[in-house]
Amino acid sequence: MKTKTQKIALLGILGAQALALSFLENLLPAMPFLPPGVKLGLSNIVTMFTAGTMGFFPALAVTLIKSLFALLTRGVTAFFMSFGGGFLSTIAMCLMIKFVKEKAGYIGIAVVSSLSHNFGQLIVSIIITGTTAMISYAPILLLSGIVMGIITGIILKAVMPLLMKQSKYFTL
Amino acid sequence: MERKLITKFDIFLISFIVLLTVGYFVFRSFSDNKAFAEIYFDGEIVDTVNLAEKEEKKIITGENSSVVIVAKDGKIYFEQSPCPDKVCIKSGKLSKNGDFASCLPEKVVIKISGAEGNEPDAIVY
Repeated sequence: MKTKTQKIALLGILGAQALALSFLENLLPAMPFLPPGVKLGLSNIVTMFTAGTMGFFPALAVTLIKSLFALLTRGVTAFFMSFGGGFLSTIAMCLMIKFVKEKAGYIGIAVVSSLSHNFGQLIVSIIITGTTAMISYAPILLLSGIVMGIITGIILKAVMPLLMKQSKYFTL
Repeated sequence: MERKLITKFDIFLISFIVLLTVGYFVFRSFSDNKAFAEIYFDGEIVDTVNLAEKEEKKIITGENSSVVIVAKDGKIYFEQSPCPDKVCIKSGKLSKNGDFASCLPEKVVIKISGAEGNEPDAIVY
């Protein structure tokens, strides 16, 4: 069992890793074949790990850290886009972990969380612009969400031992 | 957290969503249902019709409210006009993005666009 302090310290590290991953993702050159606005969602790996090992509220905390960073660096719209997607995605992945359990693999959870992330951002963008015109973007978001989910799911499986090892340092 | 990389559940989920979206794209390539018709009178938009709507719609406009435009089955066309040459009626039924028909004597224009709200700054006759 971890104490409260250990949890807070671990969450700080995980939050920093999520930020580092989204920073790293922005460094990648924009792929010309990707539709505009489609991203890999690497920091989702950290959120999924947190949801899987620590539960819903710690995962939500990582999401909030990410969104607040977006607020500081890119403004209010970016905050709502980030948090809208992250919030829905955290709920979805926790529901998967709780109800579908081991029947879902890493890829399944990553795909669901990436799809719900896109869906949350779509809802926020509809609220911000006041038009439903971007609903026509939904099929592209569905397909790209699946592709990105598969990629992040594979990466999550690969880095799982390292993340577990890291967590052990926070237990006495 | 003992978990496989990919399970039957995952494969089922992914193929379901892929089929759904591919089906949507196939459906959309056969039906051009994303078009909006914009109707202009004297250079200003008087009505916008979503051509995806199934029910028939009649729009009456023109100098003396004498031009009748009908939107039906994803197509829109001039049905009646008092103009002498009836070029507008002969233009036929419009359905595809970019289609255009006008009745110059009555200053009525129909334009099809892919999305709502792409109005030109002005129409010059």
